[in-house]
Amino acid sequence: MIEIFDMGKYDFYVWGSIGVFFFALLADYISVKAKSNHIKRLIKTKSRKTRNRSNQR
Amino acid sequence: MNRLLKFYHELGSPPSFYRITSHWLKPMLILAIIFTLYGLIDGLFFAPEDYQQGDSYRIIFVHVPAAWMSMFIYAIVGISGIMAFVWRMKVAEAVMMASVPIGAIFTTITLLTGMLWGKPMWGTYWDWDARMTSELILLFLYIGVMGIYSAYDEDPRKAARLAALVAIIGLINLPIIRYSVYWWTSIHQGSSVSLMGESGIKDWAMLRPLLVMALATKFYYIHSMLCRAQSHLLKTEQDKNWVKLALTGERKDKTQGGNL
Repeated sequence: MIEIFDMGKYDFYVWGSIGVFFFALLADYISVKAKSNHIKRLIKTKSRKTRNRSNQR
Repeated sequence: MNRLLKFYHELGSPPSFYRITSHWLKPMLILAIIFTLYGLIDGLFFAPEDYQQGDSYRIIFVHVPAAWMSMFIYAIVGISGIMAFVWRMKVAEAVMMASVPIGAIFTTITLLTGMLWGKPMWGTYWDWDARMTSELILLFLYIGVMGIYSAYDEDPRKAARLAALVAIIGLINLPIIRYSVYWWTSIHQGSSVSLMGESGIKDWAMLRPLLVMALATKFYYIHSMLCRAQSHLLKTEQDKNWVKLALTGERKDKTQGGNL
């Protein structure tokens, strides 16, 4: 089983490359979701504040 | 043709773009995950060993699709840059600025995986070779476009036009990257895949995972770009009625300056 992951003694280079690929895309996915949620939350909060202010008048 | 033109015009409007592309996000992400898993399992465990490079060639299954994407995304940035600069389309600005960070990520993956492939094959992580240097310049171009856009954050439309101008000028780098291995003496190998079939990988068992990974990265790009473009439009159009409708279902009073 270990032989499959050995990659003919090139394991560091091959698995390192796969790691770079996954890490970069995962970081991108997390940052995209965080940014999207942040903007949506900001707009909703702003909208709620405007609504409350107009209700008080 | 008329339907296609109508669809293109519909996508040019921020509310329609937001509404239509919201349905594409999940399918694109699911396709990207399925294709990545299939492509990597096939490429890492089932594709035959290379007769010269042994198992180290398996880096190709992430390096080459990432390199293709780094150039493909820059072409999209350039084309949407022209549309944003000439026609001042808001959606083109959003697509351009949404594509830039993803392109920078794929360029970084290309450079890092290339270094990891270079060490066992060439004996060095880096060489100021034409292909590597032009790919590094591509990363600087992506960073430059992002930098110019964020430098003018008080006027996002002006910032987008300036960023578009830099992106358009940077298009000159694409043929340089593509043909660098032929124009200059290079330690980098030639094309891995050739449409005319005169060079590159011939074995279908090796080619299949490479093409599957190329599709996987395309699907991921579409997902990430659409998410970012939607966020860009929400941010720049936050006072518009359609944003309120899309997020809260609440219609803003027209006397407050909102329009659809």
